[in-house]
Formats: sequence, structure tokens, C-alpha cells
Amino acid sequence: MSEETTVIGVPAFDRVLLSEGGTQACLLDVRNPIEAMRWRPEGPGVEGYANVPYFDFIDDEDEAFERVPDASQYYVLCAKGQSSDYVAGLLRDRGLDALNIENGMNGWASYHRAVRVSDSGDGFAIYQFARPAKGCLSYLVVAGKEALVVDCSRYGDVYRSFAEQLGVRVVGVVDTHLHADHVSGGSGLAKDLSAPYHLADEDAQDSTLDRVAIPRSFELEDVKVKVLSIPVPGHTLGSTALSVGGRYLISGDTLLPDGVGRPDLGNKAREWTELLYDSLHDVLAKLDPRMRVLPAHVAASKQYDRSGACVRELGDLLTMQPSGDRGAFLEKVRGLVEGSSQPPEYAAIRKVNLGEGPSGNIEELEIGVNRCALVGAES
Amino acid sequence: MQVPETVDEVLDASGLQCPLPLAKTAKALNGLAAGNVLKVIATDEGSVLDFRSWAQGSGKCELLAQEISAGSDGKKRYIHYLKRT
Repeated sequence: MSEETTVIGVPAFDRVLLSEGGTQACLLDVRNPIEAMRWRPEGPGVEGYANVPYFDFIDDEDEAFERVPDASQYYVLCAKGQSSDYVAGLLRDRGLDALNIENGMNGWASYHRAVRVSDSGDGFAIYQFARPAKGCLSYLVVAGKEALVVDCSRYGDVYRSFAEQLGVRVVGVVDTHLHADHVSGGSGLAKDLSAPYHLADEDAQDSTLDRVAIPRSFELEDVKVKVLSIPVPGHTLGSTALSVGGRYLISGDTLLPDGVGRPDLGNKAREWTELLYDSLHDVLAKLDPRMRVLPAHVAASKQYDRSGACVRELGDLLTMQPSGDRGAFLEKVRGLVEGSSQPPEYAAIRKVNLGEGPSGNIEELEIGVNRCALVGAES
Repeated sequence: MQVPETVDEVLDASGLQCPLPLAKTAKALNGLAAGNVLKVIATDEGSVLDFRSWAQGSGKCELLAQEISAGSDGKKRYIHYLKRT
């Protein structure tokens, strides 16, 4: 008789999340409530959720079990995968089907899902890498034996090993803009691969990075595929979209599934909002509206399709934007900016991405919330 | 919140991963009289928020203070002071 399965790896759990009809499945989150409230994996494949900390099972097991909702399958989650292993064992002891999510939120934080998002007849391939824990999307554009990496996360090895498996050589690493929400692995990956790292001049002021400007076009495999760079300032001054084969638009943060990148992170909200208006109306609106937009972010797990990808049509996204003349647009965007908070830690993250070295713990920067100061601690 | 001047018992949970530091603490507290103070030394950073949440909900103890110090091996120590209630 084979041994009972007691754990599920993060990639397999991700497939479960993306599936449909998860009404009988429950994510049992055994972290402390403070961490549980910050962030957790979500998807239609697991509809049930309960936060019952592992220490409640230690204190009074029967009482804790009263707070575990009925389900036919439990996925048990903690920070690192050890307390959840303990609780999953308690559930199985009571005859319940429970799997421990391997490495817990640590594993989830670094997990990347790769999905091919281009059609097979295009003569090139675009792979979208989603990092669901952060909602960050990044890309590998492949033509023949050459590839470009775009907006890579700080886990550069993910792209390197993927390219190795495909047998392609990375000839350039591009950041569409200076990221403020996550730590970029772009310059590090480029160095490892002896490839150039590209970031627009406008976004690289004061930077000590080994970097080159973004050229007007990248020519992969002797111009079999042309990747055109299109300046779209607004979210940042140097924001650049990449048109691949004229059919796909890697849009950075300029166009997102549910809006535009906020133009207020450079302390010049009004000027940059005007630039954003021009980029949307004078540049992107003149492209083929059937182009497929590949953004740098999703805001919610429901923006992924069942394959785990997020692709939108340019025309659809443009019609969603605040319409009307320049004045109305400025007014609307100002309202949106004032009604939402700036990303936590964005100033510190931008510094790291300019090559100023990590100040403090990168994991914590990326989670986006500082851990609370220690009570009673002398600092 | 103040670090107490005297402690009645010390539990060294260095090197242990959760759930063990907290499980051992719960057990040690059971053996203490009401009012006694337990000092717990842990290397697991997650213990900071876990002890805080646990002490709030458990009713068995009060968290008097938490502090961080460097151990002789250079690793951080997360120290928790708990009073049995």
C-alpha cells in the first residue's frame, strides 16, 4: 500500500486554485491573525477559508476544531510549512482529508507560474511569468534561439533556468520602468548572463547601475522578430511599452487590467498626469486596438484566466479609461490618486532598484508592510 | 511595556522552528504558579507576532515585553516575557 499523501507543493496548489468549482475545498490558514489578514493565496478552486491559528490547536484542540468549517478537502497554510504540517496531521487524525502546503507563504512568495500567451503561428513565443503572491507579471520573448527578459522579478534564476530549458540565449534584460512595488532582478540577471540591462535614461537618474538605455528596437534572431520600444511617460518619466511583432504590447504599468499606473510617485502628479494623458491618447490609441496587452500587474486573482494568464485587448482597455478631454481626465485621475494610498515602501524599493543596495530585509520590503515595532524593545 | 526585573523560569527555544517554541512555552506555563514570569528565548522571527497574538487570545498568560538581542553566534534572539495569569 502506498504511503498517504500529506503535502502539496506550491505549483500543484496553484493549479488547484486556478481550477473551478472549489466549493468543497477550504484553505485553513493557521498563521497568526495579523499575518493572515495581510495576504493569502486566492482562487476559484478553493472557496472556503478560515483562519484558526496553530496555537489555538495547541491551547485547546476541541475548541479550535469547532472553528474549522466543513469541507471535503483542506489545504493547510502557515508561514513556512511546519505549523501547518502539525495541524494537517491533527485533521487527518480526525479522518479529514488535509494536505499541508509545502513551504507555506515562503514558498508562495517566490513562486512563479509560466504560461505561453502568444499564438503558435506567430513565429515567436511570449511566456508570461506571473508571481501571484505579488500580482507581478513578467515576460520572456523568444525568437529562434534568442530571448529578451522583461520586468523580471528579483528571482532571476526562474528566467535563467526557463531559458536554459528552452535552449535559448538571453540577449537582453529590460525593465519597462523603474519599479516601485517590487524589487527588480533585472540588473542582477543581466550581469549573470553577460547581457545588457536596459532601463530608460529618464528613470535611471542618479543610478549607479551598469545599464544601457532602451534602444528604439530590439532585433531578435536577425530581425525575425522586431520588438519596438514605445515611450509612454506618465507612471514614470521613462515608462516604455514594447510592441512585439506588431501584435502584442508589453505595457508595463501604463495600461493595467483595471486602469493605469498611478502618476503621483514622482511628486509631480499634475505634470505626469498630463504626460499620461498624451501617452494614452496620442500614442497607444493610435495603435491597432486588437493588439493584445500584456501588463506588468494584476490587482486581483480573478484577473487571471483559467490557464493562469492575464491578457487583454488594447481597445478594451482604452475604452475603460477615464474618457473626455484633457481637463476631465486630469480631474478624474486626481480623484483616483487622492482616494487611494501610495504603495507601501515604494521609496525604499525604488532606491534598491536604482542600485543603492538593500536597506533592511528585502522580503519585508516586498510584502509591502513593515512588521510592527517590538513592544518593550530598546531600539 | 517594560522588561521585568526578575524572571522565575527561562525557556531556551533557540534553534527550534514553529510550532515548537510556542508549544514548549504553553507547556512550561502550565507548570508555573499564577503571577510567575517566564522568559522565552527564540531564534524564530515568526515567534514575535505569534506570541503577541497567542497571548492576547489565550487567557493563560500576559505578554509583558518582547525584545531582540544578538546572540553570541551572531544570530538574532527574540525574547518574550510572559506572566502566568
